[in-house]
Amino acid sequence: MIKRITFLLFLCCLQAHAQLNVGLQGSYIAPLGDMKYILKPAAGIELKFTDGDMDKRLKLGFSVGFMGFKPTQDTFRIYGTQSGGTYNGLQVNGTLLQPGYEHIYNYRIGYVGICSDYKILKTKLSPTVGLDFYAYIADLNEDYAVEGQISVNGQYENETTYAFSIMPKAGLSYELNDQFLLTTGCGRNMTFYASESLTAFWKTYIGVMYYFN
Amino acid sequence: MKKITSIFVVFILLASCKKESFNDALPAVVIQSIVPYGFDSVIVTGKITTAGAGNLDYVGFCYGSGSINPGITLNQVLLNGTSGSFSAALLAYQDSSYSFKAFAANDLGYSFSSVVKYTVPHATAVIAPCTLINNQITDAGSTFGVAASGSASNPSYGNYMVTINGTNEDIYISFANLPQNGIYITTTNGSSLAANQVIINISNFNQYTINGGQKVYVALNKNATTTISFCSLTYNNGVSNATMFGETSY
Repeated sequence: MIKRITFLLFLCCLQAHAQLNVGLQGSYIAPLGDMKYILKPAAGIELKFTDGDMDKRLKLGFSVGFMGFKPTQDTFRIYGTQSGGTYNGLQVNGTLLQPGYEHIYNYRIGYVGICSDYKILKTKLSPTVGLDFYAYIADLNEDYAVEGQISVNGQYENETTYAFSIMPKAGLSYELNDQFLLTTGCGRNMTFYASESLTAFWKTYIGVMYYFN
Repeated sequence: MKKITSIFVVFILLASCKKESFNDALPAVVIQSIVPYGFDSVIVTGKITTAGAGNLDYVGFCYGSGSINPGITLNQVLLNGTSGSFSAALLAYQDSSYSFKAFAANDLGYSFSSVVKYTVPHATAVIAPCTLINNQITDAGSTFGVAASGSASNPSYGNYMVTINGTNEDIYISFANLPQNGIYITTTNGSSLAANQVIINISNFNQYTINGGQKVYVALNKNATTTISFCSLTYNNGVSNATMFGETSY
């Protein structure tokens, strides 16, 4: 799905290259909250489009991107609890904590966003601030099991979730020449709809924009 | 060129933050102490040394006899989560070895302490802390010589009874099991004797039961005899509170 959207946007860009400028941005994504213990920091790639001239101080645009996370370890120790009933043929008095495991194979996020960047100084090298809005589709592949509750052979799950976030950011931009603009900075992604843990992260980015004169 | 370099340097600096591992998120727990408790238990104390991420939902212990690495469900004792120390009395018999592990669970998972092997020591022999003459009992001001015997056959309560025969009265001390070194506590409810409890009945012309909550001392002697002693056991004889003290060996 994301690939199709990206391809369509790319075609649109080619059609309207006189109006839209195109750029490529790489990012280093550091998960936050509980996810920082479960997912390794990941690289992200983003295709960006902006309108207007390079020396315009407020730049608006949109982007499509992808990031793929790997787990911090192969197996995570999880647990379940059982109150009452029997466990291994023995009566459970009170609550019993039961061991389990979880394997995460991959966690991929595709997204589209609306971006804004404000260039603070009129100089070629300038600090920038901005605010982005993103819509995410996250795909989690895992299997897990808890003794006595879920088969020890594990239960495979492919979970797709959605999230909407804003990302305030700050950084630097440098006008390399009339065509190329270098940008770098850092933003904190904050989810306001769906699960916070899915898409809370710090994003450190570096990118280059090509301006069609 | 310097400006381009500075762009890259800023990126590298921003990206080089500390990487977290899953173990950083889990609580860290250790077994702080194991001490004998009563006749068939130990008190194990664990301590959370690092809370990890999220709320501590549960703490607890698991253990088994011998040198093993006990699984979390083996004889599990589960307690509510706490960030400090936690203790539980666990069934463990004298002269037996056990392997204990503490565990703690938070929202993300659970972790164990290392295995601690512990052999429950044999309790030391104890004699009542008062001056007594062996095989002599004083009851309600009357002093008399006694002879005692112990048997597991047909105890009034529990699984073992010591019978103390006196001139004018007999005293029956019922134990849950074979008496061990240590201090026993009297009870008036013989139907559910705990390992550290005794029920004492006096039989003369009437029947009396020693009040609960009093101490009876047991010593297993090197010559294979057993000494039972008590300093001041009170009971109601129907008229007033009477006191009995004495010592006997069998």
